[in-house]
Amino acid sequence: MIHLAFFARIAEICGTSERTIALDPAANIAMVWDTLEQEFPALQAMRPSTRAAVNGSLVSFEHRLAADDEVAFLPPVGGG
Amino acid sequence: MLAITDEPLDILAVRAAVLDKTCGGVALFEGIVRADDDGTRCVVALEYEAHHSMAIAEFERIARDVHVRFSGARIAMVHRIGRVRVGEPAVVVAVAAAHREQAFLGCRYAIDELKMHAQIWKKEHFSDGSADWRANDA
Repeated sequence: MIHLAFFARIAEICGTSERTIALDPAANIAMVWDTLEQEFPALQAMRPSTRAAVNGSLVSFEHRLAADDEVAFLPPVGGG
Repeated sequence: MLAITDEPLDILAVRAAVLDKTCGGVALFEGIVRADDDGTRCVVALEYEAHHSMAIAEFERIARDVHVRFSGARIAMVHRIGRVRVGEPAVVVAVAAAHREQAFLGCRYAIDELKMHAQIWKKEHFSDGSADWRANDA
């Protein structure tokens, strides 16, 4: 299994802040995102500006996933 | 003191966290929720959300940078999450140093880095009941 965490507008689009999904052994982050886009088409517009983190570290969408990874999808920041 | 809280910010506590006997100056920055008005609607509150562990890790990185770049300056930084009304602080940064220049420069550096890199998001709530997420300028 891998654990997905959604924030801000992405969480609103997905209707939840977290989800657990089965791990495809070949899966990278782009594949997970593509699956989410099919379910939530409004995510398509977010793709260019979204960054991903695995277990708290920023990674590229090509990053390969391992069991029990926590994948966070992060929109452009707005703190301060 | 590097923290994210859903409580109103205690500015004097943030300031007190950086004071010691080597300190000759403290620069204090408060980021305040502003009533932005685009002519048809006005901001009444901001709602903040954070990836807590990533945001704190970024605060720690900024604190190390400030210490190294600005002659051992000491920093405290607290950001609020949840709904923050116009006029209230959403973030407080205090930087103490032996001399004022390092305190001012360190404080400016820290808030700029926070706005650019910390995993925190804000949603603007408007007077007409509408709301939208708002990213910082890159």
